[in-house]
Order: sequence, then structure tokens, then C-alpha cells
Amino acid sequence: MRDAAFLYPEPRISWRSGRRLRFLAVLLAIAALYAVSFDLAQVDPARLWSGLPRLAHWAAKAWPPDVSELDRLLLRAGETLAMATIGTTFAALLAVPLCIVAARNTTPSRLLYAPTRWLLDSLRGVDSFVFALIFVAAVGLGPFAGVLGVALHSAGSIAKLWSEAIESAAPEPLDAVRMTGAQRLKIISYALLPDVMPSLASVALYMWEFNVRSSTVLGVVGAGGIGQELKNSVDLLLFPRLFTILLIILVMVTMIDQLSAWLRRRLV
Amino acid sequence: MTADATPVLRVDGLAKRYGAPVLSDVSLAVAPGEVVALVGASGAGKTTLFRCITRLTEPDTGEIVIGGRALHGASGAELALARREIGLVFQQFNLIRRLDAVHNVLAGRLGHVPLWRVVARRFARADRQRALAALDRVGLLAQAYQRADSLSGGQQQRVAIARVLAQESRVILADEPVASLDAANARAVLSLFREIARERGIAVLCSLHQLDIAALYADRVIGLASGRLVVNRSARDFSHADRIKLFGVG
Repeated sequence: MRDAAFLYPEPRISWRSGRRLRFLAVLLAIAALYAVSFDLAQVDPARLWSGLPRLAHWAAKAWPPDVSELDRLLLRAGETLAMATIGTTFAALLAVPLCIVAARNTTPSRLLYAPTRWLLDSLRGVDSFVFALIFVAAVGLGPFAGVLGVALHSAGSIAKLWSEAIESAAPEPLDAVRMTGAQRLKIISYALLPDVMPSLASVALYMWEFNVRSSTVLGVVGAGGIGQELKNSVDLLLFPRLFTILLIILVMVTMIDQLSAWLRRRLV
Repeated sequence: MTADATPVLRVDGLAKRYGAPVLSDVSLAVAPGEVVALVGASGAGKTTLFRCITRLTEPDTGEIVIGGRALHGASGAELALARREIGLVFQQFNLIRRLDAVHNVLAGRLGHVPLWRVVARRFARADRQRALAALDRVGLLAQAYQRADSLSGGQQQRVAIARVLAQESRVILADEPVASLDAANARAVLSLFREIARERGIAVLCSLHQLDIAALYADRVIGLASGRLVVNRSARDFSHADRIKLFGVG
């Protein structure tokens, strides 16, 4: 009898086998991608090195932070927070009908399903920043343009994530309710909603938190909020004021992150 | 009480293939008040038959008539109305996990109540009382306000049965309703089916894989093997030969 260690034949993998060659090809492709990206992004460590003393100089000049306009800056931060909150709320309202059409198990029509997915992807593909830029031109400077920008971009994201939550819902309770003679809207509101509600609320909170962060820069394109003060201070080289603004943003974003995380934990 | 009465559920020439045929030319009828056991080995097509009768799965051909109303060919509101007359008990209970027991039972009323009540989850007193009575009937009144996912498997199955009772359908289909229950619970569930069939004249078609239990609680036994009905006999005439036809062994 042969040695037990050689009882079971195993597949032999040759050096030139398809799997090895494929692995090498993928490795080469990734290396090429990085080489091209470095070149296009004009990565130049020497320039960073020479710019460091300037940064250090500014940082030194930023101390102590300038709090003489604290009221005004806090009001602007409030504007940013309001923009993100109202924008996310509008987005969620828009997402309600969209997500039902964009989920395979609730869509009223296969013909509408694909175009709706494309619409959501396009909305998601355009950043709130870009939407805000366009809306500033349409409705004028100020936070309302920001609200519209946040709403349109986030409607795409929320509806997409919601439709995915709906698609992953258990189909069995839906079948059971369908057999009681209920039709689409009854099935969705009675059997589907209780099941997916925690995920939907969690998505909405996450988007709100994300929008508070991303809204801090909307002012740069004139869409109001703390970002506008940020841009002014950089333009006028007012570093102590800039420092105060960064601190306000940091505190606000951290607080909202914590609050949202706490609320989402409670939903589970 | 026998198959001579006008059947309330009639299935004619039902067929379904997934590549290979799963159901071939299945015809059956169940009279009001009659309890029929559908037996067959796993994979014989019992679940597919139930899903095709209810059109949760679309059959390829065949007619399904419930109390004179054709289910085949119906769609939209018409299909929903026809389905109201079939209560289906699923093998896996299919409760809405985050709702409490009484709201799961109230789901049985969804075909009868207006949309706003469903959305607001505010049911009329008569429906709420009906649901509580159904829970009482299955011995779960004390658990009425517990969330479905906090109940044991046996309790969840009883909630699912209460849901069917509250639906007040003319036909009850039950897909292996006692497969995951212990012997005592299984007997209780099957006696309950028998009682409500007698009391309310409901036609009950219930799939089982335990033949001994089927013979005890059913009026008639029909047997499915490889997607064909091969046995149709009153429970007391069910023979050893039938058993071999269905399961291949004695």
C-alpha cells in the first residue's frame, strides 16, 4: 500500500497555467493604471517640500484664532446645517416614489424600472456642489441654491440605497399578505414597510450626516453657509479667522456624526 | 361533507415545468367542509402545486375555480378578490416579523378593509375583535401584543393559522403546516383545521409528509408522485399499495 500522504490526487498548477497568467496580467494592468494616474495628477513631492515652510508660516500666524465675529460665523454654520437638513428632507420626499419604481420587487412596471435606475444614477453622478453651481445661476446666491443642490444629488443616492434595501426584504411575508387579497399599496405599506423601516431610516440619517459634511464647501460656489466665510478668509489671507472657521466646522461635523450614529444604533 | 357536494375548490389539468415537468395534468376538487390531505415525498411537487393554485407561481396551463370564481386568467383587482377566498398557510409561517401577533392576524383582513386603514394601521373594532377571537381560538390571546419574531416556531405557526381564520376564506390551503412542530402541537393544529372545516364549511387542503397523521385527520387522501396525482381515496381506504405508489417503500 502507498503512503497515506499520496493517496489523494491533487490538481497540479503549472507556472504557465491560465490562472497564473491572468493574475500576472491583472498585476500589470494595475501597475500601468498607477503610472498613468501619477503622471496625470502631476504628483510632485518636491513642490510639497518647498511649500511646507509657507504652510508652517501661515499656521503660526493663525494663532490665536480670531473670535471677534463668532456670532456671524455661528449663524453661517447654522445656515449650513439648515441647508443640509432641508436638502436631505426634500431628497427623502423625492426618493419615496422613485425607490418604489426602482426596486424590482415593487416596481409597477418593468418598462419604468430601467429608466428610473438610470435617472437615479445620473442624479448621484452629479455632486451637490455641481448642482449648487447651476442653481446659483438659476435662483441666485444664497443657501436656497445649496438646498436644491443637496436635494437633487441626495434624492438619487437615497432612492438607490432605499431600493436596494427594499429588494433585499424577505419575500415570504409579502406573499402571505398578497394571498389575503391585498394589492400593491397595501402590501408595501403593511408587510414591506415594517420590515425595511429601520434600514430606510438609517440610510436617511447617514445621508443627512454626509450632507452636513459636504455642505460646508457649498459656500465656495456662492450657495451660502460657512463655506462662504471659509472662501473669503482664504482669499483675504485672514488666517486667525480661517482657524476659527475650521474649528467650528470640526465641532459641528463631529457632533452631527455622533448624533446620527447614536440614532442609527437605536434603530436596530 | 363528501366529495359529492359541489366542490368549492376545483383544479383542472394544472401543469408546470421548470425545464422538466414539475406538475403534470393535476386535477382535484375539494368540497365545503371536507379535509383533504395531500401526501407525497419531498420534491413530489406539493409546494409548487400550492403556489400554482394560488398563482403565486404562474402555472403553464390549467384551470382553478374557487366558489365559481375563475382564478386562472384573472389579473389585478379580480385576482386579488379571488385570492381573498383562499387562505394559505405557509411552511415557514411567513409572518411580518416586526409586527405584533394581533397585527399579523389583522393582515388577514387586508383584502376587506380600505387602503387608508391599512396605511394608518387603524382597523375597525369589528376587525380587531375578529383578530383577537382568532388568536384566542389558537390559544395565543396572551401573546397578542408580542412581536412575531419573539414567538417560538409553534406559536408563529398558530399566528399564521389565526391569520387564515381572520381572513374568513372559503378555502384553506396549508403547505406542510406541521412539519416544524412537535407531535402534540401538530395534532392540535390538525384538529383545529378539522373543527373549522366542520363548523364553517371551509374546504381544507393540507399537505403532509406523515401518512399516519394524514389518515387520522383527513376525510380523503390524495397522493402526488413526480408531479402527478396517483392516489385519490377516502382516508379509511388508504392502503399499503397506495403507500408504495407514493414513497416506493412500505
